[in-house]
Amino acid sequence: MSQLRKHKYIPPHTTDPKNVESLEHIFDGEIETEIGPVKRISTRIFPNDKLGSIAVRFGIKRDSYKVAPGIYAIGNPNDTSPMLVTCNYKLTFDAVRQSLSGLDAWLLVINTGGVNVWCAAGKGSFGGDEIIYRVRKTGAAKIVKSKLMMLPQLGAPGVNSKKVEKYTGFKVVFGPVRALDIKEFLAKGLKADKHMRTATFKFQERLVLTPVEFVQNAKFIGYSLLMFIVLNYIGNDAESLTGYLRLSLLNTIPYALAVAAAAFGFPLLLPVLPFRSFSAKGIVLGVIFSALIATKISVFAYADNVPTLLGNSLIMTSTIAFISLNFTGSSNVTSLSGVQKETMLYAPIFAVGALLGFCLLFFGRLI
Amino acid sequence: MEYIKNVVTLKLDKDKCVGCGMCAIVCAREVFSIEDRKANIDFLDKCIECGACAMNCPIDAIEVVPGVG
Repeated sequence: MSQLRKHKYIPPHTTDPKNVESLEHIFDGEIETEIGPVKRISTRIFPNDKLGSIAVRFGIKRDSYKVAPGIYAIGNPNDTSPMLVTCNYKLTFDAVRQSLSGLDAWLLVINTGGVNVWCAAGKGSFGGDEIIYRVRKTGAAKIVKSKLMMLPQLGAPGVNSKKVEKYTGFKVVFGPVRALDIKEFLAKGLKADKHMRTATFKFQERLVLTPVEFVQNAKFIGYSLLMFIVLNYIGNDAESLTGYLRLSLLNTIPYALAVAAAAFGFPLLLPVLPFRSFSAKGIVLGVIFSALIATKISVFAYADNVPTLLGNSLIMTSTIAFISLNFTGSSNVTSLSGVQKETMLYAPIFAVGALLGFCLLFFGRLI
Repeated sequence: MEYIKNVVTLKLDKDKCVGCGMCAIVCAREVFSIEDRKANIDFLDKCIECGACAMNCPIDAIEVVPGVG
């Protein structure tokens, strides 16, 4: 838990990012205030923003998808307009501004290093310290006459609201989990229904995570290709180099499919896979997948013997289950204690499984 | 969706609790309810140890070892 430093606050990210040129389209003017001109933000999502979001979902330029921290205006804020706080991850920023169309409000963007609210709150960068620092630095208290600050509920792990109230003079309320409920929350006089307070992990929410899962785990496909290039060299009776490479590539295809099964299949099937731990769920998916591949060994040019069949099944199941275990870090339903428990139990099993599988494949090449 | 049972480190000291309801407000997993001016842990196994409740409890009645989210 982060402790508020009483005297001098050192921000977690010493340099604030500037707004790059590709962001200019979202500003539609400036409003004059006591602290100087404040940029007004459009609540429209432009084709640029959509393209950027898609790229980020595939892990492209994810770390540089940032907005300059500071105070911005939405519509024409007046004396009763609240100040909403958000992180400087552009994907979140877009969701927030889009959900504010037709509202008059202030938007304080704090520097989380381009990380979303919940992840940043867990690491303390979406934190009370940063909010207090940002309020002071921007002079927000001078222009936000309502002295009402609305935080995203998912920022709560990093923000002690009473301390923020004490050091900024604002009244702090925790708004809804999702940006799209902000209007309803404000219209109901800052009251949240149960659904606004609850994080979900629906099909659509899991689906958007899958491209990055695949990109981040694509390295396993490379490792498998390397493995087959080595293994197929043993007792190599292919007539040509191309034949040898073709065999290795064919052998690797099921491994690429296994990574796809883990990256796309696991998140999507999460609620229907049996057992509670992600590792055990992953093993189930891995065994089903391996069984399917086992019915098609000739398609992928695998040797028709028991060690090869077992070896491939062991490595693919271990890989799928390992990627599944890693998905605990991307989900919002797992506890650290649970993750530690299953990692201690299963990670060694997956390592041994993959190694044993390799030995079996090696043996399979010799017979 | 519930995760592994009986592992979370969340603890609530009911004697200390003043029933302000902050824990129920910040919890995104419906772990708490407030009854008779006391918080109650309804679904312990739903807790993901984010630490929001402990962070915002005004009298430190809640203890949890938080993960990094």
